[in-house]
Amino acid sequence: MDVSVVFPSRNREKYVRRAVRTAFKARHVKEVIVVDGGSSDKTVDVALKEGAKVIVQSNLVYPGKGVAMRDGAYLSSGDVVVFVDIDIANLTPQFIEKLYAPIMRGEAEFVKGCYERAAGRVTELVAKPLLRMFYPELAKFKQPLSGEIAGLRKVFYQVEFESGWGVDVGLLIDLYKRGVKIAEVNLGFKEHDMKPLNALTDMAYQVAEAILKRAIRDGKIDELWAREYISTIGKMDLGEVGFA
Amino acid sequence: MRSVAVGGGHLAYFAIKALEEMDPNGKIIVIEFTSEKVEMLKKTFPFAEAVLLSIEEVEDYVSGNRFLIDVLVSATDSDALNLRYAKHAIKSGVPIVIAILNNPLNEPIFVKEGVKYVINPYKTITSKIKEVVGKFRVNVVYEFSKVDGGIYALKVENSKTLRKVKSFILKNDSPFFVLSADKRIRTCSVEDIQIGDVVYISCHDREVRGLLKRMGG
Repeated sequence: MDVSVVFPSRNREKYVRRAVRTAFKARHVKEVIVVDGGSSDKTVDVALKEGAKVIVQSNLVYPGKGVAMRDGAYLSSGDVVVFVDIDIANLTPQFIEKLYAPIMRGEAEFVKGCYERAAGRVTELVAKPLLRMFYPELAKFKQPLSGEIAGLRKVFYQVEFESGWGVDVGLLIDLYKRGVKIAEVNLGFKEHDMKPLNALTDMAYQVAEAILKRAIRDGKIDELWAREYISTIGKMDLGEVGFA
Repeated sequence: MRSVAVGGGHLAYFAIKALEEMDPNGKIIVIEFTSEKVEMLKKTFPFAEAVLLSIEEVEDYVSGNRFLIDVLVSATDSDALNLRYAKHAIKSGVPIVIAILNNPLNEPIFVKEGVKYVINPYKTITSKIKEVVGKFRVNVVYEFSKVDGGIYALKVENSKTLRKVKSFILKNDSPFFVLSADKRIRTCSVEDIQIGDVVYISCHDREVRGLLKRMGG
């Protein structure tokens, strides 16, 4: 089975050369795709020079990770598609190979990567509690928001990609609902820049939205009740906060 | 003419309308991926045949019908799919293959990948804004699809510009006409161009770039 490796990226000139070269060294990799989010640096030029296929993600004004992943899946031609963050400092060919290994062995059709370190803040405080409430069968995943995933190309065509940060958990829920065989593999240690806390609000919101939207769709929350409840929140008189 | 349009969004809408206007008796097939949109397309374009296919079936459909398709327009909401389908159609020998972009930044990538006819719908917005605001001295009014050139509008603001525009037209023997300050359209000799006129010149892209450079634009 041939493998396509997809790197969503934006202004990652510093990482792109090494990432593309490393991906090409992994076994079975026939193509590397860089989906650019409208970089103002030389990410695109460097990627092309290194022999990657490049596409700028379709959504011009509001580029999001999900749009990039969707475009990467659509442009790929391998039997297996692997998505990896481009800015992993310790990326190796083995890291990529580990990710798709369960698919090659026929044990899974979709694989999520997880790491030695503790899961991120949005994972622990938003994704896991909501999954436990609505999809307890998925709460066992150590890192449901992990951006390192692999899957048979055909499975990615069965579902819709969320446009933003909800894409990873959205794919997990939707592929699980479709009966796709899912595995989680430990990829070891990932050396990666952490986002500052204030940058996590949007991410947390989009993750929560992706899970709740699916909970409504799957009849786990009554839609009319939810709409009514949410609309009353805005009208609530919160009073004044007293300070001691 | 037998045409295939892939996609059911607003870009495809304009493509289908244009294909129908070009050849009201021609056959138009619209390919979409969701049954809801196929139903809508059937209502919106009763003259066309709306077909429901999966993303992966499109290439097989094109290959299987390659001798019947005269024009393929790929106008989905994903430039990745548009590139993939356009390249496949070219490889299959479809005579005219057009891709409509969602993101104008992809234009050079499509061209590099061998897609000759790429429509960037956003170009019109840029050139129209510039033309209306009139801040720039050279605006692209129309770009030819088949050659690297177009019609360019040059505002003659002063005697220096006038001199350069006249010498440009004479040197390149470029066809032109003039829009006067009083909004009259006129054809005239080079010598009759005046300050305040907007000169519409048809020439190659590289020539107008040279002029722009000389004018400091």
